[in-house]
Amino acid sequence: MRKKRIRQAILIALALVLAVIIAFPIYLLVISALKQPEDIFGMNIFPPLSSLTLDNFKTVFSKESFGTYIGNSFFVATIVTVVALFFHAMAGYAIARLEFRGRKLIFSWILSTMMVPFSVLMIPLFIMIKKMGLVNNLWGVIIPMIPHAYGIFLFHQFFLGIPKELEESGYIDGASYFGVFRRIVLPLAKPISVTLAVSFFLTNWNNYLWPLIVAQDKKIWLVQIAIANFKTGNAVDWNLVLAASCISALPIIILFFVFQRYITDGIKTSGIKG
Amino acid sequence: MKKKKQISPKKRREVLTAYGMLLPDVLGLLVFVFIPIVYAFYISLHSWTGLSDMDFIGFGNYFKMFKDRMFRKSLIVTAKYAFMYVPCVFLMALMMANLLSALHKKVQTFFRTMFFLPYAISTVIAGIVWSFIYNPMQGFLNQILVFAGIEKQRFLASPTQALPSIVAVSVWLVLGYNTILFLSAIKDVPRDYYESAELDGAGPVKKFFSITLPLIKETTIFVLITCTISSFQAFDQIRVMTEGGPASATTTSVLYIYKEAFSTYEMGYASSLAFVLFLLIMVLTVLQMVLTRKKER
Repeated sequence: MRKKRIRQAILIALALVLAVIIAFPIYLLVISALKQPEDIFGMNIFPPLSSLTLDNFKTVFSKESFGTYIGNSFFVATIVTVVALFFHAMAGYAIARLEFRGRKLIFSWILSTMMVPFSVLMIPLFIMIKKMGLVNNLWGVIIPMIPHAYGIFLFHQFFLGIPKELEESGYIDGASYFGVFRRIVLPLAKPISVTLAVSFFLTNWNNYLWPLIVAQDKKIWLVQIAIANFKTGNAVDWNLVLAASCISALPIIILFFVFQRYITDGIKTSGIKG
Repeated sequence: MKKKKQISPKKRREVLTAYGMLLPDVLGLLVFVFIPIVYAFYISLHSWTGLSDMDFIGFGNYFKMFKDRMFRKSLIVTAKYAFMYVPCVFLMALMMANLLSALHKKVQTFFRTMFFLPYAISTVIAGIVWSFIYNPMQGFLNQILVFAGIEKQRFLASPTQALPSIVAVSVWLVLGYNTILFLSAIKDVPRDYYESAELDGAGPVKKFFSITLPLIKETTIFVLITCTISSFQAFDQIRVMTEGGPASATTTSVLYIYKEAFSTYEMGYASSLAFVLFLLIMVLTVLQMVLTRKKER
């Protein structure tokens, strides 16, 4: 018994060291963003509270119109999340529960689109969006991000696990197929919807490459683009860059802590089937 | 035959509802994934700046690739990146998952959260924070080196150190995600396998190699191949940290494609490069599907 305890203590110590190393850059980000510009590179990891300041955050908002970028990112991530959830739930349900010709074929076709890397799509997508007149328009960022096989797949898996009796009672009451989906099935899909909502919001809030291509105009920059652009050039204003990074990362970190269980559930499901 | 074709109104409603519910997503995938691939191939057969008229040159762009030294270099950089990234993620995630699974339930969740934390950080912000840490003048890492009596290093500004420095950041970002994949696979291994092995006097090392490792093979293949694919697609962190430099030492394939398309405006040539990358990734994906499906049967 005692041997087991010692072993456990060693393992915990090891895990603690790893956890500190892994979390340290994030801690450094937050603490440095709170420092005065002149001691930003100071080695003091635990500076006295009195030396900390919120000035960097204030400057980011006043000088760089950072509020606009946050608003843009929030708008994009929210619209994609809400619309995608609804579309994917419908598609996933149709494939899991309704019978029609070509069901298997359509499902495999949907899954096969997961193989396509975004780097192949970026050039034709840019040209298409340009022809639609949506370059430098938030809708140009939003629309191509909505269709995604991963969400359809996860909803499909979830709906397969719902007992059929629930739907049958709806049909006996004379509800239509869509009515059963909306009133009986959809309310049951809360856990999977939360998992996907968190995942979509996180992905779109953090997305970089596509907005970099379509949102070039300063007025419709998203948070990630703005931060990356603050950093370019030789004289990097680290105070502002780090404070801006903090502002953009904090909501996501909070989201992450609150919904962690849902995120890990999503990873497990996607991992098993690939 | 004719009798079979008679469809009841109920059946017809079911089919129509199904098509209606599928329509938005199927249309979306068609327009924003399927058609763009075909279009990418079409563009790749042309010499085109995106503004001028398209000039059909057949497979000219594909032949040009072979003589393009910059492209060859970007492939080598990508391969080097993958050779460092994949084994690091694999070994470290496997090790951390084993460590977590050996921990008491109460502390396990806490450490899982800590290991997983970087997952919430965007690739851009990861690039920013680590550029700050790697700063060649007075970055945190260099101050530690000086403290330890070692010379300051240039990290991202050095042609030899830049790529490994970036790989470290990429590993840091995805380590938690892959650890969770391994952890849930390890948890699925039946407990009694271990118990009977213990009765036979097997130690932890023996148990790992003869029970855990063979039983999590599917996850292993999944992690190895998805990591390889993602190293072929690395872009964000690299663009933020080095923009492909110094001296294109960190210009991976996607960075090169991006530059050709959106800086040089060689849309046709960039499309042909992207298409080759696509084929490469498709081969890997199919390989993964074949390898993981075998075990299910």
